[in-house]
Amino acid sequence: MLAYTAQRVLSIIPTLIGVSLVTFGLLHLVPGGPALAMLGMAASDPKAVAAVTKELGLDRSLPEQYWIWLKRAVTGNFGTSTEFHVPVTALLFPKLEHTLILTAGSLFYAVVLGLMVGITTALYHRSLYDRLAMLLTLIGASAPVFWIGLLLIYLFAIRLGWLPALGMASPLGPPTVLGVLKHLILPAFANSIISLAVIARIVRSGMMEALVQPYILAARARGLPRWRQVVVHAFRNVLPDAINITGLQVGFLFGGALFVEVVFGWPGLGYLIYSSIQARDYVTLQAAVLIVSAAFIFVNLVADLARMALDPREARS
Amino acid sequence: MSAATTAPAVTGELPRSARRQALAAFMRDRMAVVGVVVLLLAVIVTVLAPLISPYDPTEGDDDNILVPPFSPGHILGTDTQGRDMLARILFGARLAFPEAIIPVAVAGIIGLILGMIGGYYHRTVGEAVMRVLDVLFAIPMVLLAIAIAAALGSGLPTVVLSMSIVITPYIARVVSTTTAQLRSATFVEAARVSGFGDGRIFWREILPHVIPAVVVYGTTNMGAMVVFAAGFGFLGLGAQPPTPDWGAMIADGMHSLDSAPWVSTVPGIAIVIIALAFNYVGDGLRVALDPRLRTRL
Repeated sequence: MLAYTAQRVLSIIPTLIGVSLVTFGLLHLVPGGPALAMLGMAASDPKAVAAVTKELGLDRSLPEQYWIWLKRAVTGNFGTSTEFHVPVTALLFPKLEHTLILTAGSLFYAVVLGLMVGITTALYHRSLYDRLAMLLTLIGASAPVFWIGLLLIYLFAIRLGWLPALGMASPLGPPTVLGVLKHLILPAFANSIISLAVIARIVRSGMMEALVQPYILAARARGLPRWRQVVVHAFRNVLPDAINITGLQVGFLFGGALFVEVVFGWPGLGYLIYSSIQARDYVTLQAAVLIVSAAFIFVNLVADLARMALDPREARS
Repeated sequence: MSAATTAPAVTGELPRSARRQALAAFMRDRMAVVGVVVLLLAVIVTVLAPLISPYDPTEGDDDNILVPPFSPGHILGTDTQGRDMLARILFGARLAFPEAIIPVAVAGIIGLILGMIGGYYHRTVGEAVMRVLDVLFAIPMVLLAIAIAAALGSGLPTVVLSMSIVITPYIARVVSTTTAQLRSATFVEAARVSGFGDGRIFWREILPHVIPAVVVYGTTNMGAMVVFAAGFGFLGLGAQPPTPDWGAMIADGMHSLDSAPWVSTVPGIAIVIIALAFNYVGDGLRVALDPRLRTRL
């Protein structure tokens, strides 16, 4: 276990270096090159271009440029946003927190509803409920998340007026925990749908397999109540698979928040990425991609280690 | 392990009857057949769009703005500029299909080559190839594609290019796993012992067994690709207005959601229908092309 943990933790170093190379390369894809991308509108001033060229070593070789960029990035210097005229770092970190809140909310839905749907459809499998639930999860997983988000807004915010449509907190007064939770309900659900469907399907097939095993028959023969057969005997054998698949979903929920944030005006990294694309603010875009990818790697690492800790069988293999 | 290596060998020995069996298995899957019919209809309608479309998809009509669906003359209604939704859906499909299919085809070919190298020479060059691809896995796929597209500038070629880049590692992984299994299969070892060169082994022994895996993977994920491509349009990175693009149409309707919800809803339904059809066809193909799944069902 310890050896695996150490190996797994160390394995992210080459990945992080690779990711930094890819993000570094992004600015070189911009027509006009990095100097233009760094300056935005100010690129019409040759003096400014000369200054940036000198500062970033743009007249030197690519490896040297990468080294200069990396040194700046590691110290948190991602440059100045061409759109908001503030250091990019100051923009990023509050947004990261908001995206993590959204991710946590989505994970809650995906796990709770995914388990409920998966277990109940396995129990009543081939019933009308099972067919309907499976069709709905398939449609939900096949539809664009931004479209689902708009449907939810139309139904629950515009038609029924039950929930707020946009933002993270009420614009009036200071933000409250309850207010944020209320604003979280719709976007977190929209973001969770694909993962919810994946978890439900895995749990359903696992439960169906477990429920016909001899140990269930034995439990029944001993006169145990049905819920004990289902929860303690069958579900326990599905749990490792469920944890495994959930771990994989955490990263997806985090990475997939972009569209949901745009639709619901959730002020996270995804929304920041969207606005920097609209404004051609490549400096902010680059830093946001790097931060999201780094966070994605860490989230996956934590999920992976948690899975190992919870399922000793995995750790041994 | 043994099942994985011997099963394709059986297919290889009896090509004709295996093909017939696969077709029969596919036809037994009702939803897959429905999916094929839906997709065929969609393709026909898409090709014929200029002939059958009731209106010009880009021409607005100030007198008929936001006409609700099922109105005479506009069965799916009109959008904020009075353009006929049905016409825009039909012409939008002319973008949606290539945007989903071309990247999968491009990534399929590159992924095949990289994956076979990665799986076959897994101790040397292949290891390096797969390590590089691992980096691309570490970045959320959609985010990487969007970042590349944003840097290159919007438009159809950009969408196709950035999607191809981000899908390639996934296909390469599927291929390299299969290739690594085949590498130690008896018939591949027999070919090696007979003195065949690597090129011939790739072409004659490995490729025929890897292609079904890629086809199944590609078809199963084609639905997701339609959704993926719509995402670019939604963010304004796809084809530029007034070209009809399903994702961009959904974004268009965002601002009139309270008064005219159909502007966003209708293109979404089109996306879901096409994506579901691809999913069912992909599932059907997977069962049909894998003899082990076929016998179990």
